[in-house]
Amino acid sequence: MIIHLKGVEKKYGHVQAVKPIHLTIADTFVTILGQSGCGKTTLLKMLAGLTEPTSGEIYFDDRTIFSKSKKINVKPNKRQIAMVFQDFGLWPHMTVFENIAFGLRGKVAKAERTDIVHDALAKVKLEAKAAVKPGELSGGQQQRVALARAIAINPKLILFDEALSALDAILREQMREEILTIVQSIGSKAIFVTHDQTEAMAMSDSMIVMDIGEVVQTGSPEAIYHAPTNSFVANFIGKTNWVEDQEKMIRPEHIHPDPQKNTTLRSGVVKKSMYEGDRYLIFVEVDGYLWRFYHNDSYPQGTKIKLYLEENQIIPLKKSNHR
Amino acid sequence: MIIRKHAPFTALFILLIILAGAPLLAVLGYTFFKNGTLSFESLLTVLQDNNIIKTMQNSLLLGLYVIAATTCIALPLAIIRTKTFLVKKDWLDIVFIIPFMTPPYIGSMGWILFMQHNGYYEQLFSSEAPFTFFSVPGMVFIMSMHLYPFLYLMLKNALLRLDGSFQEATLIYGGHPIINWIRVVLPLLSSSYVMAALLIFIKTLAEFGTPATFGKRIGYDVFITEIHGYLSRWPINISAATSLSLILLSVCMIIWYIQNLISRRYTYGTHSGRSISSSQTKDSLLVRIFSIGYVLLILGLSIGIPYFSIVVTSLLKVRGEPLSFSNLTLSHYTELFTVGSSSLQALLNSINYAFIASTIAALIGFCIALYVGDAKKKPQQLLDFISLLSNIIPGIVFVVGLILFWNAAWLPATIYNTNWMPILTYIVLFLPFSVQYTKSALSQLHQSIYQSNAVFAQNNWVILLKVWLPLLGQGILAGWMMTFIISMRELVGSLLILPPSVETSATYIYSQFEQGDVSKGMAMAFITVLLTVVCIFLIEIMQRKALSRNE
Repeated sequence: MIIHLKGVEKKYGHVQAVKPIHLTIADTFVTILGQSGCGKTTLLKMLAGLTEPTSGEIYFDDRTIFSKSKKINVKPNKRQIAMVFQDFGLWPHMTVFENIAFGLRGKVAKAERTDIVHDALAKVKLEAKAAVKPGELSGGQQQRVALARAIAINPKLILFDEALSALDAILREQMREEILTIVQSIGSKAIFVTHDQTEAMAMSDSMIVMDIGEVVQTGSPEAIYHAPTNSFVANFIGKTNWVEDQEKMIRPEHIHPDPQKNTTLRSGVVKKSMYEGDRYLIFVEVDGYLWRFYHNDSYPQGTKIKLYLEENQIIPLKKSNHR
Repeated sequence: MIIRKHAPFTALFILLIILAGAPLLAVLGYTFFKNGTLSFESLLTVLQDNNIIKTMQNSLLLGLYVIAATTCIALPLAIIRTKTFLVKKDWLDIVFIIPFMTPPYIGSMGWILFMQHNGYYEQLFSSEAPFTFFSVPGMVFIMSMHLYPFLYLMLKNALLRLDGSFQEATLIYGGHPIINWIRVVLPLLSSSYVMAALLIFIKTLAEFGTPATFGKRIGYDVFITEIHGYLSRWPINISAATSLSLILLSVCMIIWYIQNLISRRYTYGTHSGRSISSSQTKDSLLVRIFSIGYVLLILGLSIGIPYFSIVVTSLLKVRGEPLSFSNLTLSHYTELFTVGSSSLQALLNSINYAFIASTIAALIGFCIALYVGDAKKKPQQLLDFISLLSNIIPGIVFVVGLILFWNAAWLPATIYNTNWMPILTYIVLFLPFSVQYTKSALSQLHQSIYQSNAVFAQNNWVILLKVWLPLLGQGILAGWMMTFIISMRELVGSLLILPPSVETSATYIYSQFEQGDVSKGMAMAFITVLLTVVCIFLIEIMQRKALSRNE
C-alpha cells in the first residue's frame, strides 16, 4: 500500500503542531523519528484517524481516507489499520483471548475467530496465556498481546506509537526483531513512531525525520546517516564531529589516528577514553570542539595526538533553524 | 457532518442548561429585573437591612470558626493515621466517613437530645453540664463533628503523597525532624489544606440541618435559614430570598475562584515515584495510648453520642423517665412501618424519588463523564464545569432558582407541584456525585483505551456494551448509591419544593422533631442512618475491589 499525504497539517488554536506535509510513503517499514513534541505522534494519529487534520488530504493507494475539502474522514475502524500503543491499551476486564478477538467482531464468523486468535497468539508465542487477563502479564507479554491484537484483524497498515518505550533494553531489542518478522509474515506495512534513533535505523527501510512540526528529511537510514541535510539531523542521528561549526562535519568512523590516503590532518588533546566492549570511544578536543572517534586501545588523558580525516567524508550541511 | 460531530455536546449542553443553568439565571433575573428594566433596588434594600447584615456576619463567622475547629480535630488525626502504627488500619477511614455521611440535622438532633435540659447527659451523670452547650461554640462543635472527616481525608492523602522518596530525601539532606516538618512538609501540605479549608467554609455556608435545628434554639440565624424563612414564613418575600441567594452565590464563587488560583499556583507534583511505606514504626507505649485514645475520643463524640441519643430516643416508651430496660419498646418502629401510616408513606416517597433521581442522574453523569474524558478541549471543560456547579454553589440557591424557573408564567407546561419537581431537584443537586464517580473509574484506565476502541471496535454500541459498561459499571453503581442515599435525606430542598401534603423521610423527621412525636422521628432517623451506613460499606467494598482489579 502506498500512502500519500497532501498538505496535511494540524493546528491547535494558533499553535502549529504539524506544518503542511507533502509526502509519499511507499516502503514497508517506515519510522517517524523526532524529539518529543516535534509532532510525530500527531502525524501518526492523523494517519490513524484519531486526530483530525486541520487541512489536507490523505490517500491509502487510490482510496481517499481524509479530505478536508471533500469532507471525507474515514473512521479509524474503517481504515483497515491496526495500532500498538506505548501503554498497550489493552482492555483490563477482558482476557487475552477476548482482547484479540474484539477487533474481529462483526467482521469474521464466530467459529473462525477462535482459529484466528490462536494463530495470532502462536505468532507471538503466547498460546498458553489465552485465558489470562492482561493485568497478570509482564510488560513484554502485554506488548505481545497488543501485537497479536493488531495482526489478528489482518490490517494493511500497523501503526506503532512508541511501542517499545515502556520495555527494558534487552526486551526492546528482542521485540524489534520479532515485530519485523511477524509484520513481514502477514504482508502488512508498518509505521513506527519513535524518539530512539538506534531503533529507527535498525527497524526501517526508510525514515521520516521531524523537527518542530516539520518533516526535515526522508530517505533510507544509510542515506540519512551519510548525508544529513542539516545540522539538526546530523546531530540527532549518529555522532557528529564539527569541522566547521554547523556547516561541515565528519562521522567518528572516518577519523583515524594513523596516516591514510586522501586525508587532512588535525591535532588535538585526548580528554577521555570510554570502553564500549568491542572498542574504545575516544574523546578529543580539536580546535575547541569535542570530537569522537573509535580505536582499539585507550589513550591516557592529556595525550597529544594527530588525527587524519577522510576528505571525501567531510559532509557540508545546511544550517537548521534549530539552535 | 458538523451537526453530527457536535450532537453529543449540544444535547448534553442543552440538558445541563435546563437543569442547572436556567435556575441560576432565574435567580439573577428575578433580583435584577423589575418589569423588564434593570434595577438594583431589591439587592440594595437587602444590603441596607441590619438584620440581614447581621445574618451575613453570622454565616461568615461560623464558617471561620468551623474551619478552626475542624483543623484542630483533623490535623492530629491525619498525623496519627500516617505516622503511627495506625497507618495500616485502612478500615478506620470507612468509620471516619460515617459522621460526614450522617445527615447534619440528625447529628444535631442527637446532640440536642443529649445536652438539653433533662437530656441524657443529666440522666447519665445526674448533674447539669458544667458549661452552656446551647451557644455558638456548641453549634460550631456540632458542625465540626460533622465536617472534620472531609478535612481529615484530604490532609491524610496529602501526607501520604509526601512519603516515599520525598521523605527519604528530607532524611538525607534535612536537619532536625521538627525543622524538616516546618521547612518541607508544612509548605507542601499548605495548598491541600487551604483548598480543603475553603471547601469546609462553603459547606458550612451551605448547611441547613444544624442551623435549622440547633441554631434556631439559640437564635443564631444564617444565610440558609434566612432564605428558607423568607420562602416559607408569612409574609413571603421572594425578592429578599433571591437577593440573599445571589449574595451567597457570589461568596461561594469568589471562594471557588481563590481556591482555583491556589491550586494552580501552589500545587506541586507531590507524586514522588514509588512511595514504599517505610513506616516500620515502633511507637512508644505513650504514643500508642495517645493515638488510640484520641481516635476513640473523636469517634465517640462524632458517632457514639449522637447515635446513642437517636437509638435510645427511638426505643423509649416514655420520654423523660429514667433509662431502664423496662422503659424500652419497639413500638415506634412498628408504628413507623404500619401500612397506610403517614410515616411509611413518607419513607416510600423518599425511596421512590431517590431511586428515580439517582437512576436518571447516573445516566446523565455517565454520558457527561464519557464526553468530558480528559477535559483537554474547551467544550469538554465547559460541560465539566457546569455539571459540577452544584458542588460549589449551595443547594438552596438552586432550589430557589428551580422554584422561580418552574413557576415562570411564560412556560407552556410546568412540573411544579408534581412528583417530578423533587426528582428534578435531587438530580440537579447531586449530579456531581455520579459524574465524579464515573470519572474516577475512567481515570484509572490508560488513555490509549479510547484509541484502542476507535481502532478496533466495530461500532459505538459494541464499545458501550463491551468496554465502558463492564469497566465503569462499579463506578457508576457507586455513584448511583451515593446519589440515592443523599437524595433520600435531603432536607431543605424537600421542605421548599415538595408538592402540598407530600412528605419524605427527611421532612417527616424534621416535623416530628420540631412539633410531634420525637421518638417516631428518631426511629425514622435511625432507619435513615442505617441505610446510609450500609450503603457506605457497599460503596467502599466496590471501590476497593475495582482498585485492586485495575492494579
